[in-house]
Amino acid sequence: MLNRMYAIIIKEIQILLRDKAGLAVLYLMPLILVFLMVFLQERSFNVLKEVEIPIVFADDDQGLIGKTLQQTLQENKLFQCTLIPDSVNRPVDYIAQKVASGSFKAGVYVPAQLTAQTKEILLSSSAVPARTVHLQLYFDPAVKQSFQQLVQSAIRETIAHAETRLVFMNMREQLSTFGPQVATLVALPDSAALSESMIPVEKSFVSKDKSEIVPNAVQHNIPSWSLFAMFFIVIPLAGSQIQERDEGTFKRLQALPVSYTELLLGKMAVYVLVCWTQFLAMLSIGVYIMPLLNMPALETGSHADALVLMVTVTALAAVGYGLMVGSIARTQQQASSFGSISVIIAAAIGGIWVPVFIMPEIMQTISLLSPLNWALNGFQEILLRGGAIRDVLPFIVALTLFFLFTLTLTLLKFRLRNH
Amino acid sequence: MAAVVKVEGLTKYYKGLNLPAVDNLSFEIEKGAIFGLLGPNGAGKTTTLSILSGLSSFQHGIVTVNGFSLPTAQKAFKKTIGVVPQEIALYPNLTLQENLFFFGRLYGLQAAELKTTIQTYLELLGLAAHRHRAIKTFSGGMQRRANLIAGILHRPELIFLDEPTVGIDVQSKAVILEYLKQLNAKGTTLIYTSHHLAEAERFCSHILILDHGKRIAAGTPQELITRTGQAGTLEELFLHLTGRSLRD
Repeated sequence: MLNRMYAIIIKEIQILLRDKAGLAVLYLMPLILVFLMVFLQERSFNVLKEVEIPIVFADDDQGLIGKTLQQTLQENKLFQCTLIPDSVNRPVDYIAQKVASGSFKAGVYVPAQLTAQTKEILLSSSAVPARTVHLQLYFDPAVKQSFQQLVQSAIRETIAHAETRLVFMNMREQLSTFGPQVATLVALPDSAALSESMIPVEKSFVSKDKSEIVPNAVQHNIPSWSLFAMFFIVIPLAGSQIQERDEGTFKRLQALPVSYTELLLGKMAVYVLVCWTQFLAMLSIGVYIMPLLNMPALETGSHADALVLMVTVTALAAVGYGLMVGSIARTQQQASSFGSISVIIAAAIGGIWVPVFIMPEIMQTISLLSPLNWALNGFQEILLRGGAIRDVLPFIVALTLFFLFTLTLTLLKFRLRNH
Repeated sequence: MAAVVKVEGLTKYYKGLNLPAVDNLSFEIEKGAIFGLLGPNGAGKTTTLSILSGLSSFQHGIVTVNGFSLPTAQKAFKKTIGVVPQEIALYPNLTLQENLFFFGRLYGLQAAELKTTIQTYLELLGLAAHRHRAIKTFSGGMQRRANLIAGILHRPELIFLDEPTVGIDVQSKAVILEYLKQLNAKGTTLIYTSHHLAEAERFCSHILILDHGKRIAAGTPQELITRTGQAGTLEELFLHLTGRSLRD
């Protein structure tokens, strides 16, 4: 049997190595995808460079609020603040026109008397005077809601600081009536002091093995696109089965003293090996190449045994799926179109492209049906949360059952075809 | 002579078809024969050959080949037969040598023995100089010769040949038939289908003519021609027995 298995494995490797297009699908496509996605999502994960939202700013107030806002927007690395030129006569129109043209994502106009009126409102002890001037914000309609909220919250925070300072200033003025020494008892907080909360907040990412793995584009995309690539073996694997049937080699194989199970085992061995080489290639890129491109290096977690097991069962699930598609499809075209589309759908609902937690509730439920989701959860458990084998056991069991299910269908289809 | 193939009341239906592909067929093939299965398109030749070589199941009848009762998936049975399909059942992207090593190893041949066997066959069938070329680059005749070698690497006692000379040049056809005659002279039984009736008349020791899955006539080519008394050649006899209406 070993001699036969050796022959089958060598033959599969030889065929695979001669199929340049198949190799490109297996290795080149995922590499391109992973580079593309890591660079595209780098800003979303906000790890290296701060996102710089271009903002145009005009201050007709020239009071505390206007000046504080200008200082905040200029110092905040989230924004790239541009002041309107002095020659502009109608700042509101200028800002609106610049934002509408897409030159800036947002515009802030601080009208004259804003500080004075705010002060008046804060000082009023009886009836609150009606507000007649408003801070005006302008947004490019193409800007995401999350960016709008980012700008709004930054401005609200600044205004709150300014209001606090105004309150303190008011207190000092009131106290100064008792003498200049009394006024100095109340220290006027500066913006920096107000930015620091009274209660300090400490941020940390928690993992099961106490390691400090920071979620980033590399950490998310390498496992995601490795999985996608592994499941994409459906195309060459199913194709090779159909080719054997079309060319008559399968008929000859059936006449040989070799069982169908041996033939499947030979194919499985080679394609599991292919999945492993795909994963190792992606892993190497994450660990060694990404840092060279100023990206964070992939952290592989502290449970290599869990990772090995996870990669192997994922590879088996992918191979099982490829064998099943190859046994059910009648033509190469059917296999490649159904195979690729089904993997893309499984990847989409499985959270490869978009994280499952931001999907609508119904899609989150549907995502549980995707083997790519089980595999992704398993990888994230190991790579992001430092999970061990016991933590990924549910995913390992699910993927193994999926593999056994697809293998059973493949064998059943073979029996039906031959009766 | 002992019968290597015994068929009694063989009937095979394909799924979804009402008419049988093979209908209550009975015959025997003696060891050392060159047995021709002839008939028009759809007569049941390839189906019969598939059943005898263990590739197809059947609904009724008793079939014994080389002492094995069919259907069987026994590897011991498969080692006693060689199958040369009508299709060029080789991997087109692999070289001739890679193909032959692969199929040879599956027959259980060890590397040293396989190397010698392949060398012998390549020289006998004029392919020694092309062993490192991919099958897809071969001419039709070369592919047919390679297809034959892949089916007989393990020197089987019984060889099934489904139209082994279809669509090839005269020279390749002559080489293939000559080599098959040599194998037969050493005691190998050949079961062969063809549409080339003149070729079958010269090549076969026994012939079974089928039509619509049924046995129409059987015997040596000469017996069949003289028995009817209405034909001078096998082709004339064939047309007499199966008619001139076109078949799909």
